[in-house]
Amino acid sequence: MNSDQRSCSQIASGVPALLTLLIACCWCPTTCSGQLDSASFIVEGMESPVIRVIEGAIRRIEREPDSYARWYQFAATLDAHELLEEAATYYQKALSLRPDHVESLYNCGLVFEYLGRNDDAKKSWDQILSKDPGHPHTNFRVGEYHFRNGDLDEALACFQTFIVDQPESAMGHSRIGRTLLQLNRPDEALAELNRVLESEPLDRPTLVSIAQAYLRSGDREKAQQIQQQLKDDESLFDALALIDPLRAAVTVRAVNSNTCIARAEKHERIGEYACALKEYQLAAVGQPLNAKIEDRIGKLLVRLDLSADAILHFDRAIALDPTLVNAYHNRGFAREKLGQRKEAIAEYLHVLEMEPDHPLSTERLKKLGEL
Amino acid sequence: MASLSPARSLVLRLLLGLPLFVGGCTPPAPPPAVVALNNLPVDSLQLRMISEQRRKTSTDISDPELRGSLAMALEANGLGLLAIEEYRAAAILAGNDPLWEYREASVRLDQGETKPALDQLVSITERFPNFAPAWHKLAATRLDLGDDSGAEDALAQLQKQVPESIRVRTTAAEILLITGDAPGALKILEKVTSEDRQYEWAYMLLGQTYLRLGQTGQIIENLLKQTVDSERKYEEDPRERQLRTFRAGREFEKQVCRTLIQQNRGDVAAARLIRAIADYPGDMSLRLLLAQAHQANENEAATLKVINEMVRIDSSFVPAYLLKADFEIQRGDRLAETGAANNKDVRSHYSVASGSALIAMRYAPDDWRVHFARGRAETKLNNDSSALTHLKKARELEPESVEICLWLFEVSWRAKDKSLAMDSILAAIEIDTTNIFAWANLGMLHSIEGNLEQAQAALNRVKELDPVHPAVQSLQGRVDTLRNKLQTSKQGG
Repeated sequence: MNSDQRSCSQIASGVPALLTLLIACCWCPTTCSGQLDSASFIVEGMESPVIRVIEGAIRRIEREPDSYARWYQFAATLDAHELLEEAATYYQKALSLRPDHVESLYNCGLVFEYLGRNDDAKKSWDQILSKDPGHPHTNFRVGEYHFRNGDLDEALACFQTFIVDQPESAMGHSRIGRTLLQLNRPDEALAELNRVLESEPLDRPTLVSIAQAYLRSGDREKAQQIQQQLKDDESLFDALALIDPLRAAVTVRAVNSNTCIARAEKHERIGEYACALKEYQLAAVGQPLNAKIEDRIGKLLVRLDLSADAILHFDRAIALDPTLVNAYHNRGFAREKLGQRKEAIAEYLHVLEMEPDHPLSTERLKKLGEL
Repeated sequence: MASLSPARSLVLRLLLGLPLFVGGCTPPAPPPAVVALNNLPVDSLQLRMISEQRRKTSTDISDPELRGSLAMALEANGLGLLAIEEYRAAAILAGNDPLWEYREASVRLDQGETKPALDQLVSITERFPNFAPAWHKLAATRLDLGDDSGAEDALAQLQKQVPESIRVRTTAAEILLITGDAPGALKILEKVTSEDRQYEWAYMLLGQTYLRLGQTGQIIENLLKQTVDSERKYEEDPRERQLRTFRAGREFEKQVCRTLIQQNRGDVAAARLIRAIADYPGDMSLRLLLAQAHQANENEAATLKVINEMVRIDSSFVPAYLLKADFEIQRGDRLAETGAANNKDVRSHYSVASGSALIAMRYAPDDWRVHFARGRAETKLNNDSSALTHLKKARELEPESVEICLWLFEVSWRAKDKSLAMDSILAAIEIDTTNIFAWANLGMLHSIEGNLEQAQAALNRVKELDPVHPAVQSLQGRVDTLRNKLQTSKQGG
């Protein structure tokens, strides 16, 4: 039975089915005409790994058109790649098949929020809270909604519900602290904000709020101290992030090169070189002409004792960008690791011709007794 | 039209049938000529293998099996273009057998002739729909080319034939992973890897799937590290396993012998190396491997004999001195372990090792391995000052070696240079975050210094890396003792 026939049998089954179908048609017209057209989701310049996951999700829907999970996966894939209008449409489609699907309700709400449709977002989240009033992350999101609208008591109640479930969340304490500050309860706000500093001492927005709280509580001296710290300390940054498994299940689907590179760099920082390599390799599929990615892949292969393979990537990096000096140096180092001393020296010397002060090549040449 | 008489009709039929009859009697086309073996870019061992196959083929050039075997010998020794010609000949002669044409397509793929190979695979699957290897290669090739839906179609056909195949299920998972269904891939890969613990490609994909699901950490890092050079395997064709028997060549011999030595089969490696050295008497790396094979075989006399031969042939051959240093350190250690030998005998081995490294230093003063060998020998001789000098130099020349850092730690600790000991162990951890010895030693250093928090952190890391490692227990003991001590002094104070 194809999807058209299935639609027909639904219509024949009675008025409620007809209504369901009409609602679904409003949200996703393409399904009513039969199949999803992948071309309508693919924009110019979209990277091939992204195209492949979108098309893959569409094919799985074609095989299982009645599966809410497949529609949700499709929506989440679009959402992860910032195709927000489309994502909202297909979260709704998943919800037409399973109206209480929490993941779809939650993320659809977020997508609505990103699209500026705040009331639609609230409606979506309210559906979760109607069944599970204590749902922590939904309370957090609704709390944010109220905070933006100036409904501070409602916001505070939501954040407090969140913190009951997530007592260690710095983000949760931060939100409570900021709301209390807005409610002009500076002493209570300070207690919450100082808890945030225990786990995130470098969070700039928290320090700003603390300075305000001291001012309001009349402790000008402490407020000035904090303001001075905000002025002088360059290591401060926006350190808080909400640990949100429902959202992470969506964002992890992103396979665009920039996301892969960000993940790779994170792995690299903590010495997870093999993980970093996989992320860079996926990024290279998305950006096949990016010399720097090839160079990074080569460097990681050297780290993983695969210097011969690494050289192929440095070759490619240099072919793509002959001015990429570091790639020559790295190729030299790979050759050195392979015992090709003469070739390595030639590479380092070539680097110095291009960039006479190149510190790494200078250092290697000194160590090899060539400088 | 008037009807013909039976006699005239017969004559006409005969005349009309004549061309067909004549055609049927035409002798079959001669078998394609066997490829010529002129100026091949192979070494003498490879040439011997290929020539032997060609000689066998020339006994009956119309035998597809012989032609196919020659093609395999050519393929196994890196002569893809000639292999394609012979596979083609075998395919023509074999007629209704997809094997040789399939192998031809496979070699074309290896040669980068993607389009003709793909066309050929499609054609084979159309004519021989039950030949699973062609479906598998077709699915994987389409996937590599970004034709995911084509890959899925080919895989669906394949799964009808071999639904339980580990390799095919792994490709199914690979397709799911690439097309964005990581949970689906995970389901398959967890099952596949529990059924076959040898297929590294499946483990690599498993690691990649965990990444796509947002899971990270040391276990996944190790999984990906250990499978970083894994390769996809296909549904085997009936002759696949034979391919490796055709591999030959000097480099191949070295590779095989290295593996044999690693597998503690030094005796087998030694026999093969002696034969190879007869062909290549000037190849010092073959001799070096032979010495290592004897060493693995604990044949001290033979090891020394080969080392001495190497030095006689080329007195500047540094690896021979390095091997000798290593060998003598091992001999000294073994002797010390027995407890029977006196200190002087043990020291004499370490002295020889140090002397050997010293000679090597004359030829390669900037080679870290030489300084490392000298540093180790001097460490064994308790000449800490000299050991530190050489180990520091080795580290300067090779900053990426964990082993050097660990030796440097050992000597600096013994020499009571706590700062260098700490630097060395931190450097080791920076190079390899998974080195359990480095973490255990870091924990020990911190516990001695009274840094409970850091010692506990190092202990946690050791436990995370290997909860049953003996270092866990001893470090746990140290940390507990320190904790009690600090609590007691707190209570007392």
